[in-house]
Amino acid sequence: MTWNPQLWRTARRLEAAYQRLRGSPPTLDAPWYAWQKLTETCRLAAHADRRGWRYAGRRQREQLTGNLDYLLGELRTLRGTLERRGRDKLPPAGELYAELVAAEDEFGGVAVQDFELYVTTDPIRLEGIYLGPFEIRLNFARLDEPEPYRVVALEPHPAHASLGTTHPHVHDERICLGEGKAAVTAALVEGRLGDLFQLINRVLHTYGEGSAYVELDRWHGTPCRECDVSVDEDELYTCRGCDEPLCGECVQTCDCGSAACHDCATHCTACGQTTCGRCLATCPDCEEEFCASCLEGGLCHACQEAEEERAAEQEADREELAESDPAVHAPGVGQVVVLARPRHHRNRRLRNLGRR
Amino acid sequence: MKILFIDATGAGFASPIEVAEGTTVGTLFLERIGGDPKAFLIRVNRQSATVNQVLQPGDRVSITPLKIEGAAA
Repeated sequence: MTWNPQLWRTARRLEAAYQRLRGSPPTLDAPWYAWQKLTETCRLAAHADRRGWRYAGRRQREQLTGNLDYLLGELRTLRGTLERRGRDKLPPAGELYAELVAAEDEFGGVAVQDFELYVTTDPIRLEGIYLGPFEIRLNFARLDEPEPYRVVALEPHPAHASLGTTHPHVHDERICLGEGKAAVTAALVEGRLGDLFQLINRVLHTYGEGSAYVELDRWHGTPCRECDVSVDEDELYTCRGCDEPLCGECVQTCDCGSAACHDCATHCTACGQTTCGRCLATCPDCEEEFCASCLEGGLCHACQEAEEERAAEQEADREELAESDPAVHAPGVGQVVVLARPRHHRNRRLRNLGRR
Repeated sequence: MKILFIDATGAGFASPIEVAEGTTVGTLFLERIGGDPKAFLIRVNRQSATVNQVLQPGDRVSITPLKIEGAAA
């Protein structure tokens, strides 16, 4: 092994960083987030089942497996940290130097920038999708934190739906280690930095289907807001109400061509046809909303018929009045016959006023 | 004889263990991990090792799966 004075200097800096942790209690993080993820996925799966979204339900159940593994990993990490009973055995510079040499052999180089020690992976391709090489960066000024490392994409090929997701398990440079969390934490605590880099590298070379930030089968598409199916850009609809993306199966369209999601779509009260809010008009009499073909003269068919009935009744009343009292003639210029409205119609008016 | 064993499939801490003289990497792997050794990166004293390599007192053996599934947190 050729002596490398630069790596030795780095090892001494790392040793000093570890020495600063002497006596500090181990970080104990209860896996609340993992538990929340699990319960949230259970809730979404049940919701999808209730609404009959079979595809979304299946995806949520697939995700449950990943969430369970994540929680188990977090629990293992916690138990391992407790078993260590504090950082009483800190890695000496010699051990750290050997770790750096091993990492240099495995990754073709180890570099330091400010307080970050980093290695570069080979270009990564998962399930045929090229993600490029990544830098795994360990900040040795933050060794007291649970995750003092980040993963930087050197040639970012992020998911279409999430530009911060440069790898199925990396979002905003934060890697979610899943099954590898316990082992990485142990390697960090014991100063086995070569193992730490290699473990993170193995996570980057593995695709955990069902537990990714963005699944690889949706990497180049946008997920439909209703069923979660990935949709290519040219087959995507956008809801006019909430601007959410929709697939061709879930979109509801109006005659005017605008698209709406299940929540934003409105329907004609009479015929039930899906119509966007702009193509619906309110009947001034009953104040319900109708499509253009269910309105006549501004009124819905029911109110139109009622209006016609009322006019006929008025006409009949007028004729009856004229016959019973010949002295009363049809109204002349400037005169008008005022008749009471049928009782049922007055009641409806009152109901409408109450609604306002 | 005593060796230092690091099993990255579990909690991942380094533990001193007792093995018989003449134990090979392959024997240790089958006893402690099992399965196909090709699915693991096996290192002795931080160097890649073969299953036929005979362990020596004080060796540091680490076994890392090649596939470790991450998650989304």
